Amino acid sequence: MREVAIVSFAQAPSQAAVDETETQMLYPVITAAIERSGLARRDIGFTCSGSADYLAGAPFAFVSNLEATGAWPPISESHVEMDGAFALYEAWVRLQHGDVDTALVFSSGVSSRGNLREILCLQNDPYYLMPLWADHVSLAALQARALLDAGLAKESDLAEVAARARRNAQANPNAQVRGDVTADELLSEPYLVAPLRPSDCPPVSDGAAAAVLMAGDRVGEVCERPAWIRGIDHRVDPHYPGVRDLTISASASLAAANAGVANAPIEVAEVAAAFSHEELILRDALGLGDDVDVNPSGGALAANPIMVSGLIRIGEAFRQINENGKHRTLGHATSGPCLQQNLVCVLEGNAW
Amino acid sequence: MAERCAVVGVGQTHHVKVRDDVSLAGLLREASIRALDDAEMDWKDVDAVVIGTAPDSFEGVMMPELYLADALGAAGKPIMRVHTAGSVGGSTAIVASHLVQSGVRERVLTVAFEKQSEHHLGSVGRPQRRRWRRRLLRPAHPRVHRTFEGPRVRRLDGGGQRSPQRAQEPVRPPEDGRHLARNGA
Repeated sequence: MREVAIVSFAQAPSQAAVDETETQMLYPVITAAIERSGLARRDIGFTCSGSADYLAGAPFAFVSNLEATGAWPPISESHVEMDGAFALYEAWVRLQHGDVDTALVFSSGVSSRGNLREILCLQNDPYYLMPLWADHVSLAALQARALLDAGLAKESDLAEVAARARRNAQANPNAQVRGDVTADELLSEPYLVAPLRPSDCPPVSDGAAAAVLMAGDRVGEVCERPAWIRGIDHRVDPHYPGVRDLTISASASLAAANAGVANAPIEVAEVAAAFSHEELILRDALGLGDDVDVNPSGGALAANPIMVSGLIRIGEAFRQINENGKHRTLGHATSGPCLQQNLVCVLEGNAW
Repeated sequence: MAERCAVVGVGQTHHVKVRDDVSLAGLLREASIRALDDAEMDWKDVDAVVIGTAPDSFEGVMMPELYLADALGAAGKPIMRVHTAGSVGGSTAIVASHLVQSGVRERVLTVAFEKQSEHHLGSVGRPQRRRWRRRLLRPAHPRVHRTFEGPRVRRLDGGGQRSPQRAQEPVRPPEDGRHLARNGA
């Protein structure tokens, strides 16, 4: 495989509700990512984005987002109706060809203009599951219940995850939910959907993020501390929650094995656990020990712009190398009910 | 380009106004099985699946790769969903070919699809269609309720109740559709 590195990343602060369109949110974010990369816009060889029509409430909503890239003269471009992390995967694939050395990846999601608990029902099997209006919080609660019933976690364990996310988020200017709270304080909340309390669930967030990828010898010219993509893979589980063992994530384990997570110690992992119990499942699935710093940004429990959250996880894993001098980090993204599809990206700094 | 990439099998369904004898998943399976047969391959030979359609609201299923993963034998494999508006059929095959050309995957199943009969644009008369086209294409609407029409149409057409009259019933307010769907059969 050709060596590819992330050389810059930018994100908009996650907010409960923005007045801007996705295009307006993206423009400064894309501009910042390109400026930080040291490249000119015309140097970008491939552009790939991720977003969802159902969030914007209009078909082909991503087309107007291209306005934020400056797509004239015409550019080589693609779009996935998936989290931006999957757009990053497509860009990484494209850079393997050898004829293009640079790629721009971005994604955006404005969740605040609809009711996510209605909209995300439309991800389910349209004939048998969707008519039940089994919303994503209720399905997550089923998974949390399975974990508790199997004796693999207690409600206080979930509260510990939620409290740590809020405490970690205090140092993250882009986070939306933060606070110096303890697990005991959160356990006094009433349930939202038992056994999940409001703090076990993600906020509704609007956000945007962008990254620049580069392959080949030029990486050293533009970036002092790039994050090399050492392994990246994604895998999907069956759709029906009833045919899966909800206490594990087989697809995340498979993606982690294919990405080579266990080849060397991971220092920091940013996982897209939007619900507190998901972090516990993912820690196991990804093989992350107690010595791994998980979600120092606060993670998706502190800011969860749908379609962007996974790209932000990879961006935060990049920042740990680029700004904080870490050597080997992990970014994770997920898609679908109960962690149905998972993407794992292992990043490394320059060799010591 | 690092690797060469060849098309080794193709398959498609017959294109008709309404395929109410198969589900959305059944429709994709039909095309996929024909392509696999043409290639003399089986589901287990496939390394990765790339699907494409645009927009989601034609079928009323958001990010349908999640629901379609089972029917396309993708469990334990990677599945991607391409959406590049009207160019999506070609773009989907391009993304699939990139996976092979990059050397990342060896054998990729790629499927582009529409099942417009499960959506109001395909199931209402011309005046309504014009009206809905205007509504659908209005940019940056603050609410997303109109995109709930897919389930409503399935409700009207489903359960053995399908008839041309029912299918051409004027579009009701979306809230009514959600009410119908929520109350089940």
